[in-house]
Amino acid sequence: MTPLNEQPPVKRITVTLDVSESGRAPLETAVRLAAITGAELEGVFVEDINLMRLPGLPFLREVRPWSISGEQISTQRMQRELRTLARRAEQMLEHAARELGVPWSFQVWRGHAAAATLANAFGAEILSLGRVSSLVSSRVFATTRPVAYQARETDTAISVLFSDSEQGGRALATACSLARDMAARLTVMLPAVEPQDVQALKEKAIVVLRRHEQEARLVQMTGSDAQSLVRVAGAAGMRLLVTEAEHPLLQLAGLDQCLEALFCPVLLVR
Amino acid sequence: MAVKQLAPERLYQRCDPEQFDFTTTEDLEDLSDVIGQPRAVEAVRFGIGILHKGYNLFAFGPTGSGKHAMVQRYATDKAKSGECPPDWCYVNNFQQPHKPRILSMPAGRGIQLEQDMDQLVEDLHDAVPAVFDSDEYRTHSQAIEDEFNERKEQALGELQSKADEKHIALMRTPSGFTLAPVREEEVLSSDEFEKLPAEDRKRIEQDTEKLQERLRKVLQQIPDWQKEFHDRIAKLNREIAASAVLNLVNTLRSGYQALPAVIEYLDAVAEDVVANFRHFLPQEEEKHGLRIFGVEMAQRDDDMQVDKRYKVNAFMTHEDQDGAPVIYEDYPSYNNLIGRVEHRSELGALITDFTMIRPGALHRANGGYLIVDALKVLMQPFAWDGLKRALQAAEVRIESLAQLMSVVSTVSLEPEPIPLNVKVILLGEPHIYYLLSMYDPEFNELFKVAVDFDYRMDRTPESQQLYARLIGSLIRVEQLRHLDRPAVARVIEHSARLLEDGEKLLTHTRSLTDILREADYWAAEQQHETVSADDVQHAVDTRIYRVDRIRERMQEEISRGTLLIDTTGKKTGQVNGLSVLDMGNFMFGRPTRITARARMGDADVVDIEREVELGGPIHSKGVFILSALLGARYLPDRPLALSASLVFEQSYGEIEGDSASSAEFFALLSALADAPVDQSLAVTGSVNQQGEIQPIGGVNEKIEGFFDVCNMRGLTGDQGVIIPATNIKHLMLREDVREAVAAGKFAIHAIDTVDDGIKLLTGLPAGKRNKKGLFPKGSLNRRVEDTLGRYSHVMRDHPSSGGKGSH
Repeated sequence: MTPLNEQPPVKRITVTLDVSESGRAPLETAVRLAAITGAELEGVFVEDINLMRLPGLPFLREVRPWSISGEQISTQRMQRELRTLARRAEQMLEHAARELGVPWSFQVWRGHAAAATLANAFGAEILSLGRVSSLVSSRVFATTRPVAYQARETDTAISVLFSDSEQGGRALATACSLARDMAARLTVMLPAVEPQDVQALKEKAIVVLRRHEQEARLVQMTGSDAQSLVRVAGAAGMRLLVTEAEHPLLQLAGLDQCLEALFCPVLLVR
Repeated sequence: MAVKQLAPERLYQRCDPEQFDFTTTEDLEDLSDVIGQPRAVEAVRFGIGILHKGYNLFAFGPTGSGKHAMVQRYATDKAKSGECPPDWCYVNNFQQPHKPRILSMPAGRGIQLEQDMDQLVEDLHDAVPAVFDSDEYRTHSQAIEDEFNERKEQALGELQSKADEKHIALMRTPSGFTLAPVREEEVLSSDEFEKLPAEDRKRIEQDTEKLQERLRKVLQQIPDWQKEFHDRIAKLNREIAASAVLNLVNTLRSGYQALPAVIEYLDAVAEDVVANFRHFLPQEEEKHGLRIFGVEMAQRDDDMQVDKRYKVNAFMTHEDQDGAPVIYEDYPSYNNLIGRVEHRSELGALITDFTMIRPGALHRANGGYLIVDALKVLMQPFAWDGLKRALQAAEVRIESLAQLMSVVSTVSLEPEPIPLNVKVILLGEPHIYYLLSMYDPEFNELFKVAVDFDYRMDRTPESQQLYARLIGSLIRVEQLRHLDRPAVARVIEHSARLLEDGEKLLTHTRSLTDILREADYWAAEQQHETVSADDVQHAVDTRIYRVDRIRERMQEEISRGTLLIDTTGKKTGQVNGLSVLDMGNFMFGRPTRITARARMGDADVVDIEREVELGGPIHSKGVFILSALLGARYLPDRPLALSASLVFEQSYGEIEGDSASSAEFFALLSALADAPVDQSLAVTGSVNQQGEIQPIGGVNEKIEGFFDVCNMRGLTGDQGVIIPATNIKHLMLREDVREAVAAGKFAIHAIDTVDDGIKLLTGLPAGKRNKKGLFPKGSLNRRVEDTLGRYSHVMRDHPSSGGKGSH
C-alpha cells in the first residue's frame, strides 16, 4: 500500500454532472481533487436510456409539482429538455474548472444510468458520482433543510470505505489528501470482518493515516450490506463518500441505493 | 466773535511719559478687565447670564475692536461653571431605517455605549453560531425535518409500494415526475409494451393512470407540508436565537438601567437580532459578497450590513470635557452649522446610513455657546435661515440642502432632531446689526441682546495708565518687545491721532496691535532690547510712506503748477478750500481752489459739482444751506436777484461732505463784495443757516495738506489755516507743523462764525447792522448787500434783463 503521491499519477478524473442543487457537490469534489492531483477533469452528462423510452408509452403523463394536470411526454420535448440540461451542465463544469484552473472536457453519455454501469464505462482513475439514475426513491422529495446553520467548511465530514486491498489503501490515501485540502473531518469505515481480523484491518488503516499525518475516526461497521453503510455514514454527517470502485458493498444496486440514500457524492477510486 | 490764533501747545495733546511710574511695560500687570467698553461688558454679562429663549447676543462694533476676544473670554468664564452637556448618539431605527433615532445620555456614556454595542456584535458573532451549532438545536431541527420527511416518505412509500406491486417505477424527468412500467430496472420500450397481451396493456395503463393521480395528490400536499415545516423551523430558530441574544443583551441592559431610552433601544436591538439572526451565521457572509465587475455592492437600507446595523454613531460626546462648550465656527456654512449626512459613491449611486451623520457647530455648542461671524453666516447660502430655524424650533434638524430645495427625490436620511439649548453670539459691524434689525422681523425675536462695542474711550490720566497696561498685555500675548515709557506715550498719542481726537483713545485693538508689531520690527532692526519712541515713530512714518504715493504725486503736481493753488497774494472770488482723500487705510488732505462767480439773476446759486452729478447729497445740502444763509443775511425783505456759481476747480472726482461750505460762502461773498481773499490762508468748516462755523472731520490731515504745499514753496510767515473753533480738541498735528507754528512761520486760526473768517480772509471788517438795519460803510457785509441791492433794483426796473448783469 503506497500513498497517493507515490502511486502512479492520476491523469483523469471523471465526474457525472447533475444541474440540481445537490449535483454541485460531486463536481466541487472532483474539481478540488483535480486541482490537487493535476489531473484532467472529464465531465459527463448522462442521458438515461429510460427517459428516452418514456415517449414511446403514450399513456404516460408527466406530473409537475407546480402543475395540476399532467402533460404527455413527447420525444421532441424530451430531447430538447435534455439538451438544455446538458448545456447547463457544461456551463457549470466550465465555471467550476476555470475557478481552480483545472483542464476539463465534456461529453454526453447515453445509456443505462446505473452507477455500476457508469463505473465500468469510464476508465478514469477516479470517478465522482452524484445522482445519475432517473429511477428514484422517496428520498428524492426530501427538501433542502431551511435550518439556520449549515455545516461550515471546518465541519466538512469525509467518510472513506476502507478495505484490505491495494485499491482500498489508495482510496484512503485519496481521502486523506482531500481531508487535508478541505480541512475536513475524516471517518474511516471499516467493513465487517471476522473478529480476529478486526485489529489487523485497523492497524493497516492507521499505517496509511500516519503516513499522511492525518487524524481520523475509525468506525467498525456491523453489517455487510449497503443499508449498513448508509446508517454509519449518515451518523457521521458525511458530505462525501470515498471508496474503491470495486468494493463489494457498492456493486450492482447497492451503489445507486447509496447515492439516493446518502444524498452526497461518492468518489470511486481505482 | 472771536478769532483765536492757536498756540503750539493747543495743536497737540501730548502724553507726558513722566506720568508713568514704570520703566518698561514689562513692569506692568496684565489687564484683567476690558477697558473702554463698559456698555458692551454690561451687555455681554447680561446676555450670557439670562437664560430665556431669544436672548442671544449680537456683538457689533468695528472690525478689529476686540469683540471676539471679549465675548469669547466672558463666555469661556461662564462656561467653566456650566454643566457639561449630554452625549448624543444616533442609532438605527429598525422600523424606519431612513429615520435614525437619537439617544441622549450623560457625558462620557456615548462612547461607552458605542464600545458596548461593538462588543455585543462581536459576541453575537460567536454566540449565535454557537447555539445553532449546538446538539440541542441539531436534535430539534433534525426531529422536525425527520417528521416532515417521514410524512412525505410515508405518502410516497405507499405510492411506491402500490407501484412496485404493479411493476411500475417512479421516475424523475427533466421537468417533473412520471410513473412508467419497468422490468428489471428498465422502462419497457414501446415494442416490449406492444408485445404484451392487450389485457395486460390495458391493466398497466389503468394502473399507471391511478398511480399518477395519487402522485399528483401527494405532490399537491407537499407545499403545505413544506410550509408547515418552514414555519416550525422558523419558530425554533427564533427561540434558539433569542436564547443567545437575550442573555447578552440583558447583561448590557443592566449597565443602562437609569437610561430608559437606551434600554428601549437595547430591547429593539434584541428583537431585531432575533428576527435577523442569519446575519450572524457564517453563510451570510456570502450574501454580502454581491459583486459587479469585481466591485462589491452595498446592501440596501433594509439589508444593512450587520456590523453597521447595530453600530452606535457617537455623534456628540464630551468624555473629557468640563463645563459647557464654547465653539467658534470660522466657516459657518449651512452644513457646518446644522450638520450633514455624508454619502459614499458606489458605482454612481450615493449610499448613506445613520453612521454617516456628522455634527455641525450647533451640535458641538449645544448646552453652551456658539460664536459666529454674522457677515459670514449671511453670505453662506441658507445658513442664516437654517440658524434661525434651529433657534426658533429649539432643535437641530439635519436636512440636506438638496432636500430643502427639493432638487433631488432620492431617499435620504431624516435623522431625529436634537433639542437645542445654545446661546448664539453673532459678531458683526454695526450696519449689519441695524440692517437686520430693520429688515428681518425674526432677528429681533432671536437676538434680543445688543452688545455695542465703542471704538474709543476718554483720555484721562487714569485711562492712560490703563492703556499702558493694555499695551503691556497685548505685547505679552503677541510676544513682542516691551515698550519704554516714551514709546508708550508715543503710542497713546498715535492712538489719539488715529481717532482724530486729542481727548480720546482708540480701543480698536487690531490697530493698536498692528502698530506694536511694526514698532517691534523696527526695534529689532535697530537691535533695541525695548521699543523706543523713535521705533514707534518710525513705524508710523514708514506705514504712511508705504501708502502715500498718491499724496506725493499730488504734491508734485501742485509744485509743478499743474494743480493750481495760490499760497500768496489775493484773489477775488477765490478761496483755498481743504479736502480729504480717503484711500481706505490712509487719509490725506489737499488744498483745492474754490471759486465763485456772481451776477444778477433769479436768486439761484448753482453748485456746478451737483449739476454734473459729482457732488454728493451732503455737499449739495451744504450749498443749499449757504444759499439760505445768504438770503437771510442780506436784503431779508427783498427777493435775491442773484445768479451765482460755485465750483471746486480741477476736481474730477466725486465730492462729498459739507466741510467746504464755509469756504464756498467766503468765495461767494468775495465775489459779491469784490473783495479779494488772502490766498495764503486755507479754510475748512461747514456753515449753518445762522452763520456759525461747525466742526468737520479730518482736520489734522487738512491742515497738514496745506502746510505741506506752503512748506514746499517756502513758508512766508503769513500762511495758515482757518478751522472751526470746535475742532481745536481734535488737533493732533505733526511735529513739523507744530514747529513751524512755534517759529511763527505758520498759523492755525480758529473761528466761530463766518464773520470771523471774513476779517481774516479779506482784511475787511464783516460789519454788524446798526439800529437802522444797515451794515456799516466799508464793511464787507455792506458791500455785499449793496451789490445785491443793485441787482434787485435792476431786476425790479428791468425784469427782462435778468441774467444779463454780471460781475
